Amino acid sequence: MDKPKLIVDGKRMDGRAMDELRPILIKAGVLNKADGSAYIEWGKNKVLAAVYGPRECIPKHDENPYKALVRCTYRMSPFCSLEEHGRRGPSRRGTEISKLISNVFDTVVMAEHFPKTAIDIFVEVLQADGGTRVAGLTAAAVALADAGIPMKDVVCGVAAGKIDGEIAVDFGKYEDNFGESDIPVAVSPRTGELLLLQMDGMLTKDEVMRSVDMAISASMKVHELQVAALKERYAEKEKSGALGGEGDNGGGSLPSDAGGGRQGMALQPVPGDAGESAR
Amino acid sequence: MVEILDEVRKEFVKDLIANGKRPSGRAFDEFRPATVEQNVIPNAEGSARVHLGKTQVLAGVKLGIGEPFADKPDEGMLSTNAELLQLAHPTFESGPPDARSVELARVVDRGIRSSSAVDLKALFIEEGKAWNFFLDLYILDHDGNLIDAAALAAMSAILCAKQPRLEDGKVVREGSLGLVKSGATCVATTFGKIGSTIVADPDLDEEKAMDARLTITTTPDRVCSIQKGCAGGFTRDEVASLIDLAFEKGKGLRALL
Amino acid sequence: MFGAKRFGKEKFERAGFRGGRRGGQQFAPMPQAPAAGAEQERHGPESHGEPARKSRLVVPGELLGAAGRPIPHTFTEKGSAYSSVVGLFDDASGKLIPLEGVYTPALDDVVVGVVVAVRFAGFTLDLKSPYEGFISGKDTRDVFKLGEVLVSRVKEVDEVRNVDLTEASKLEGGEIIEIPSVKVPRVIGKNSSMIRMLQDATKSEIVVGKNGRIWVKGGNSALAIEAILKIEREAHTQGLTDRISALLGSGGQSRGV
Repeated sequence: MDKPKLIVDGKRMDGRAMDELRPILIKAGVLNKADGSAYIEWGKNKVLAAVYGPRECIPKHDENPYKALVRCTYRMSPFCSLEEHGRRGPSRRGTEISKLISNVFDTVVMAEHFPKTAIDIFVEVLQADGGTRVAGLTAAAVALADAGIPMKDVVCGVAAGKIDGEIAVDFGKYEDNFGESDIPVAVSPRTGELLLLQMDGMLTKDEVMRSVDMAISASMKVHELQVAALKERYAEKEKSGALGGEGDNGGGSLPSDAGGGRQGMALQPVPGDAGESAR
Repeated sequence: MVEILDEVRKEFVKDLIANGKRPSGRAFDEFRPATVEQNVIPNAEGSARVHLGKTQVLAGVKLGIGEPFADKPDEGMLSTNAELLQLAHPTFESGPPDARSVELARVVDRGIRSSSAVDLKALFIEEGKAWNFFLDLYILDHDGNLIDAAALAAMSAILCAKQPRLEDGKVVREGSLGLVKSGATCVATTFGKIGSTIVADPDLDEEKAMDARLTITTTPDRVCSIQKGCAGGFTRDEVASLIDLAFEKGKGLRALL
Repeated sequence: MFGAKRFGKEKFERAGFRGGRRGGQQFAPMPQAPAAGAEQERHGPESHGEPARKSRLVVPGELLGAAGRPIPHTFTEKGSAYSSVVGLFDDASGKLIPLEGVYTPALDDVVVGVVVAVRFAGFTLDLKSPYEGFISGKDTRDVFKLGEVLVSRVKEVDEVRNVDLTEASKLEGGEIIEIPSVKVPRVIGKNSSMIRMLQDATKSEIVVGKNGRIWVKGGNSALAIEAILKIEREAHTQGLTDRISALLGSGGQSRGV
């Protein structure tokens, strides 16, 4: 296949500017059984994250007498891509991403509060369109907060890099596939610390740093959406007074995408105006 | 490991049922409210999400080219898999499909296959070449009766599944595509036996207390699959009356498709 | 909910399992417990009435202000205090009420547990927490059985969260409800006002475990349970006390006793 032109007349394939994020929607508390959960739609990505814990650590020999074991499992559904049916079962890529996301949360979760336990995070990519690992960890952070797990920050992630010679942020699938370099980043917004950082391709130092800076800047907007999603969850309860029991919270769950429009949700693409996680 | 808490709750539920009540307050033959949404995963050829009470299941359909099975050389290939995702319940573990998820997938598959809900003959292309119809059942939230929820999601996904084209030997999934050819619509209805009482659409608490389970999958006028699950048993008369109930309740679920 | 063992045929009026998730504090007056007031002082900031009108919703990492004396559910860095959880923060009083969270056993907590293991040396209790509690055989004359529901007090918690319990007594009959432990303070109310209101109106025996398990027996237990579940749903809203008072006054919804 001929490499498509990723940038035409200064605009990207979907019309975005270089530093513009795709529309993002985040909802907290979407599942019943999980201790905490969150759902994110990021462009066409659809990712569900759930947390169980702190709970008994199984297997017992993994337990740490001083702190909780924070572990994440990231998987993609076999129907997540526009192309072929994917594999059923774990993949090496999934294993690596699981480890990286585990490392992110091991840093921010105040694990010493729960010795000998495990905090299990599950990230399920239901539909993929580039940038699933950062979407996944962004949702996972919200799920952890939703579960009441003490953390030092609500972490989020954004990827940046180089496409068609330009530094840009947040790549869709084509940009990912045909771009020159992809740099996924996870940031602790409070401190600016980078908790996940990967890079591929061939870049000068200046290009790397410009990408990282662009990612950090964009991540602030993503963080606003995470906070809004968490606050919205409790504001609902406040307003209606009786928003059903625990069980009812999961009932609404994943927004549907039927017919191309999002039912009852208004999404505005970034920049400036961070895409609100609207109702 | 036997969870003591589960045992304690089981006794509570059994007593409740013996006294004529269900934990949820439902009538014995009452299904929980259900909703169905189609095309929730546009990347897939077909998809649907079902809520059955608090149980949530997502079904995804993908088609690809493959070689027909040796014993069915003129048909497409239906392949159904169920994943009890770890996020759906605290006890779900990672690893290859366990017996529970295999039974779930096979029961849903059987109903579809028997009723020809997917027209496998229409998926045949030429000798040695046919469409693979991959059906994946993703359990997102487990509050009992995964079979009915999964079967409903599967049927709904089948009904909106787009049929890709084959152009110059390549699979084309974009552009205007017709729907995959489907036949009858089948609907699964599951009943649980707790003591001597039979309840329709057991929720998780009831599932833990139940002795036996009977799933009857029906088209509007035929039975196309039956599965007696778990231990315990049903009398011949119970089976007969449950078939009647299956047709009745099946109508209600079918109306959601 | 589940029945606290089936001694005697308790008529279970209220059905439904409220699988509580998370943990909390405070307790209700019970025969052996020290006076409510004394307990309160020891766990001062953990009992509360309605959140202050001007509380703001905070999330992990959100700045609260300059670091002062340590507040639960916060951390300090470079002289500033930050929230570590999603909660309601009252700038005036400096109190932070978490909205979610698991129960962690603490010294002197009164908890309602279920016996999940019987050993030679003693009994292990599930406390609706990642940490189990242990009652030494030396600490009790009773011989408890698997599945029995006990109320007891936390005697000691060591650095690796081994929890020793004492003053254990069986809770027989009645029903158990589970609520997130973060909501327990609201069920108790400021100076035990809420729990007293419930007990006066229903004449039920109510034992509230800090871990989020509440035992209710006798009196108008259906009304007591209805009120407790309403408090759980609306724990962090304004005007709850009045609404509960109204509910108790009206006798609740008729539930076909």
